Amino acid sequence: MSKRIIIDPVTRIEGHAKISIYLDDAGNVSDAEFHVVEFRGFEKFCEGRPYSEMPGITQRICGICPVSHTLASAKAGDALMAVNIPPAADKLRRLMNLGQFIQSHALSFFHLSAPDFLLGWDTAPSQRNVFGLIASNKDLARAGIRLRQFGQEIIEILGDKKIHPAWAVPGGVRSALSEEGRAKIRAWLPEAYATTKVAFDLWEKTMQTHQREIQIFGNFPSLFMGLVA
Amino acid sequence: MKLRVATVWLGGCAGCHMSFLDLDEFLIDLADAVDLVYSPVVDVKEYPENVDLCLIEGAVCNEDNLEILHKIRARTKVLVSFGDCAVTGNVPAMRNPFGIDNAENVLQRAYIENAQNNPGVPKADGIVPQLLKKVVPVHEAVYVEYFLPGCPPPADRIKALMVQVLEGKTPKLEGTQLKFG
Repeated sequence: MSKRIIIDPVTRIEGHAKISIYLDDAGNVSDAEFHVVEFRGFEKFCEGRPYSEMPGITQRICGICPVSHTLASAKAGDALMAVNIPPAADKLRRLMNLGQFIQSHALSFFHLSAPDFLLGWDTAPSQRNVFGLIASNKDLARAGIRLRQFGQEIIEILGDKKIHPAWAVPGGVRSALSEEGRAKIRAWLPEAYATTKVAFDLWEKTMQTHQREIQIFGNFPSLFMGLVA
Repeated sequence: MKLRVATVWLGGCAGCHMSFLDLDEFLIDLADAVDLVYSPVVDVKEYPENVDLCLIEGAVCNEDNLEILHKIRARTKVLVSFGDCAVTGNVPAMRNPFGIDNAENVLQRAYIENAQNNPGVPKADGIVPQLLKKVVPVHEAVYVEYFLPGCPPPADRIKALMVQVLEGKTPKLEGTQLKFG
């Protein structure tokens, strides 16, 4: 008999979602739907407001990647005013964006996905999370937490806040990188690099033990060309 | 006996939860003192019974938010409005001034007027929740014990509250700990 399986909520993702999986009479998947259940209306309520407010409002679309939104808005503001921002501001915006890459990738790997790969998919649901990871491998969990922290600190050093910094503005940025800030980032780099290497090595080992899944998951002909193998 | 803690996100940006993760290495200490029994970062699907403390991020925007909020209230001793959206409605409530039809207006703008392909508001009954006519803060829907303001509340503010709760004190925030934004 045909059946619908609902996953609600989808957990350990960056956002609000549900999934429906439809099974046919033979028990095979006939269709699947991913439902985004979060809607706030930025498309409407941003209209007619001063452009200078946009970097502050649009970053509230997402507290996980606020830097992406605030920079996109600031760049739209640059374009509206038809200005080229100072080279230093461009570099500082790029630096903050790199801080965001670091925190978001560390979050994705250590806090969200690692419990599947390092604890295993069959671990009890109540344990299959970052606290379960802390219980099973405290040093690794600490390294991952500190890698995310490094990214967040870069954002804070530049913009005074780890989340929703009021810093990028149309025309540039509000403040420069201080000497102490630069020294702090430099001093942390070796540790962040070492943890990143640990994560890559772990991922490589995980790939070796998941050959069957690699063959099935996302392996289909498409018109897209991949640049990584 | 470990404290049974839950965290929930309603209509919001997840920034308050990210600030919770900004507790960084304090999370490791917290793991010894609390069980995180329900959270967007935990795979448990049903909000459990007998929860001691729940941090609620986000404003009440849709029917699902309202439904889980009543369940949370019935099953939890202490609720904390976690961040400005929960405390005031904040950014999600910016659609309210568009009048009684604001939910239809914002959906119309996003899914029909702005659509480049297949204009139409997504409908999936029982799965995609209906937007409420008006976005409200958490305490307008259920009784809330404590308020933790900030957009998001910085990690040291969350830590200050958690430490007081763990010490069995009535949490009290004052001065700069009570800032919005």
